[in-house]
Amino acid sequence: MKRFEGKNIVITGCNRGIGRVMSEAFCAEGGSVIACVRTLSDHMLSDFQNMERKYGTRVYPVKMDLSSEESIREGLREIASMKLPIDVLVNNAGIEHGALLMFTKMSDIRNVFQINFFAQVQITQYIAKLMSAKKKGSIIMMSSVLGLDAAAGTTAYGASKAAIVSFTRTAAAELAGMGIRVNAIAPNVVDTDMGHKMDERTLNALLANTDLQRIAKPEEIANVALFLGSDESGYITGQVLRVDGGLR
Amino acid sequence: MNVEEKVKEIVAGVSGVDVNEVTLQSAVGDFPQWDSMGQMAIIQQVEEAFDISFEPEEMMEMEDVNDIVKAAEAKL
Repeated sequence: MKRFEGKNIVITGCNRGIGRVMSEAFCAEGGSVIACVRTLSDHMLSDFQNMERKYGTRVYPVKMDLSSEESIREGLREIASMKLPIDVLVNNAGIEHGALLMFTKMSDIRNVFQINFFAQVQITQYIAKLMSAKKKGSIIMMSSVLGLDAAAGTTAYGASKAAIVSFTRTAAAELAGMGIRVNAIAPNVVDTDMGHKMDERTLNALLANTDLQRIAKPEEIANVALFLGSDESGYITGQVLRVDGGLR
Repeated sequence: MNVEEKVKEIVAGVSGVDVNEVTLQSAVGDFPQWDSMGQMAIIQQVEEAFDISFEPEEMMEMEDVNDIVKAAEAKL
């Protein structure tokens, strides 16, 4: 039996990058994915249908713009109306932002925090509520090594990912009584469009201090999500797992 | 048993107090065991008792017994 057979996994930011790879990874393990995306395109729907055919599971697209509290609420209500038991939530979606402190506008910080932190909290509140009905669930947050270690040019992004670290530990403590585990993944730079947007100076500094001397493959992050989402990690909660290739 | 009586019974059970000590004005923090975790347990038991479901936003508005009773009655 596959690890996620008969299970339902909510993943945000499924259209590309790590989220797209994670969606396929969970489907390959027998799970059905509730795929939250900012906009729906024919290409994306076709991609999801191909996944369904390939793995014999379901992919339910849900439109959710994380920059809008109301859009998130509508998306969450749509998920609730599906009446599916939710086993795993992967708060994957996020945006990058690179700028030195003196060149970071307050509006940029607010925008980054809305998507990288406030939206994640709103989604977690709602999905944890759905999970609490069966007193079991796994919530996976996406932090970053930049939320744990300081680097120039990451004022908004780094702070938003540091907030995720704190939130993960607090939520784990509060939701444990409902049988819900909460953990975070803190990747180094990942081979995605977003990863490649990092400014060269910061990227080079990171790679110079990374033992494996390369950026991560999205599959290597997805594999960690599979582990944290499954019962194999049943005694792990409140943890931030560095997936950093040996960043010193 | 009406909604008010049932909610008071649940609050008393979770808080570990006699039901006669619970009034419509009893609120989170009034009894040692009615903390935020106790509030979650109360809301879950109210949902199960009446086969209803509250949204997180609704839960945040519930501060005392009266709020819980009103919210539950609105869903019946």
